[in-house]
Amino acid sequence: MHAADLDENLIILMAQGDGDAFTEFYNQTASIVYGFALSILRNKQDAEDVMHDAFIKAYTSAVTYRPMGKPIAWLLTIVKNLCYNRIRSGRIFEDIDDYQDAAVSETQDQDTVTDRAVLQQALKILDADERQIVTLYSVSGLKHREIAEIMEMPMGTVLSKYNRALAKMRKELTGDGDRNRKGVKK
Amino acid sequence: MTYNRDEINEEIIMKSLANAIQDSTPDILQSLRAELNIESRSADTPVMTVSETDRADAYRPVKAKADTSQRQKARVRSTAYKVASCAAALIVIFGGVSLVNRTGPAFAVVGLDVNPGIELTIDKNEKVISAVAVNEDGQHILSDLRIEKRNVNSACDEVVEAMMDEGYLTDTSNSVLLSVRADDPDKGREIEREISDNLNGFLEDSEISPAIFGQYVEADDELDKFAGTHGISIGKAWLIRKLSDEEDLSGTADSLLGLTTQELVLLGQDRALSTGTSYGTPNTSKYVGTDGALIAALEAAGLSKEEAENVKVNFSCENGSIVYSVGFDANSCIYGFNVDALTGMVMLHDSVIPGVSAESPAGIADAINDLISNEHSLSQNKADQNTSGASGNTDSGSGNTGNSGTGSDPGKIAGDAEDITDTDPDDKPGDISGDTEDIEDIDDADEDKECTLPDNSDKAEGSSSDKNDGISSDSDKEDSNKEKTNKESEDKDKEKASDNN
Repeated sequence: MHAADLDENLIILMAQGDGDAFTEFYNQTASIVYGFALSILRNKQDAEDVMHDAFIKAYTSAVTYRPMGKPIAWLLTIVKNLCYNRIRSGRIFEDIDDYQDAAVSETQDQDTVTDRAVLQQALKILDADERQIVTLYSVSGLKHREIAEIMEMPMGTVLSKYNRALAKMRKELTGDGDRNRKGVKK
Repeated sequence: MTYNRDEINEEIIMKSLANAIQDSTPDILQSLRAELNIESRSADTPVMTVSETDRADAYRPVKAKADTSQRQKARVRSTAYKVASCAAALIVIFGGVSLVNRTGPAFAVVGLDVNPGIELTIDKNEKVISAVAVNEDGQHILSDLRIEKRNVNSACDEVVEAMMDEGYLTDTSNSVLLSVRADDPDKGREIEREISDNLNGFLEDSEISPAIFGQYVEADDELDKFAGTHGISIGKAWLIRKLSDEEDLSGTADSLLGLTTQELVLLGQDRALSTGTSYGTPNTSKYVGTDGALIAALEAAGLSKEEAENVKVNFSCENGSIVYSVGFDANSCIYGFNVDALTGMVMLHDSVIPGVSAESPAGIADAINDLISNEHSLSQNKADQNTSGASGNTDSGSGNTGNSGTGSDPGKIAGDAEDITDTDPDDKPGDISGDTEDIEDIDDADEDKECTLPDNSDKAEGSSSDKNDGISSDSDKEDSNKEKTNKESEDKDKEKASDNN
């Protein structure tokens, strides 16, 4: 689903207590909300908590939503604020989750293992902005320009961070990163 | 785990990332629906399929309700209401979802603006469901508050107390803009009244004498958009809309956006625009006062207070600043000035029109607008006069006359009645500036008087405090000034007493 296509009227309907609209809204945005929260907090338990709070807030605050044609920006702002509130209050887990743990590897096919390895690396080696940019780009279908607006950054900055993030991940996933680090140690 | 360099390209990385996130996204829909008291529906029940526009309208009964004071709007809204009704019927038939008894947890939104702006969404039981900051100051206030699930009155008390603690709400900045919007206008007004009463009682127990400006807000898409675009609360947007509907503030919404909540409340209260329950008056101690503004205006006009009749002074807005709009009649002319409320400087001067009463704000506004629009031609006229060596009679085709008062030859502003009649043979009845009857009135009142402004160019930047010196130069007027100053002092005392009341 392309996040930019999120139907604004779903929020208007939610403001009237429309549960069906809420379900539709959830189905269209759950992965985006969770992924964005995960990219900021780097822990699945925290991300899930924020995801829960974000949807509660979106539903209860729908009445204050002002139609401006960017409902996804509104939702992601809620997520971002909840994440930073959580960080400020110290209610977060410090450890990065291991998405490549043994249990997962044994029960999932190779593609899934690869996918999770990529996610693991993204959470591990990218800085906060880079994580948010690549996550939004991959899971929401938003364009760099749209991400730049949401993150209130110049588009050039978003593009350079995106490219830097990709380079880092490629390097890490092909083992170049490890070799370089080992080289430095020597 | 390492991968072949050729296998790992941008597309694979992005796809893998998206897959991994989608796979690991927990399914919490049912728990959310349970928590939000959303009734479950069968899996095959379609999401409503009426057109988006109709659907939005259908759920906006407030928007569709007619404003009986404006017939044209009423017609438009009546049509919208019909569309909404049809859409509602379609939803019932095809969507399998009835509008009857559709109630959500959000029942009303309560806005509190001081400078921090906060909006509380409440349920039917007046419990706070969520609190949202409209601006950074609001975020600062909310960061330490836990008001969700609290009764709205208790929550408002806590918010306002935090605003006092943080120095936003003080003796001098004592205004609270309270706004309520709800789908049920009667209930919304009742909630607004209740909160206003409660807040007043709470603040009266504190050291601050509050000014609570209550309003029930009838929100619509346009208002939502305006508020969203400018990052202000719906309540503030509503008050700005009401103010810009005022005749003399027409089209000044952008300028009004530059005002603080205190200043907006001041204007709103000055014009009795509250659509709710209000208490107290905004503190105006930092302003020069109505007397100070009048003195400045009289000086600019070269008149004494005794010469001015039908004096009218009220708050207004110019270029994002609070001003006193001062109007009065003198010597069969009307004078209108905007005086900066903080400094007492005359901002809009040289407004002199013969034959209009200052008792009519519309007359003043029209006169000022005429003068502004004719400024260029008047300057040209004046240049022509100087060139031709005329005695100062203007030759405006419209009969409007004026003078900047800051030129090298302040002299005469308007010609006398005969001059105007002579220069405007085609004048139509009803033309306030050139009507023969008006001219005869002027003649009857004071045959030889002219609408003049002195040359105050050297004092244009002066403050109100030194403007007394410029009102008159002859000894009679100096005496008059002394008497006037005493009287003004008395008036100021009365005003303060009135403010305290």
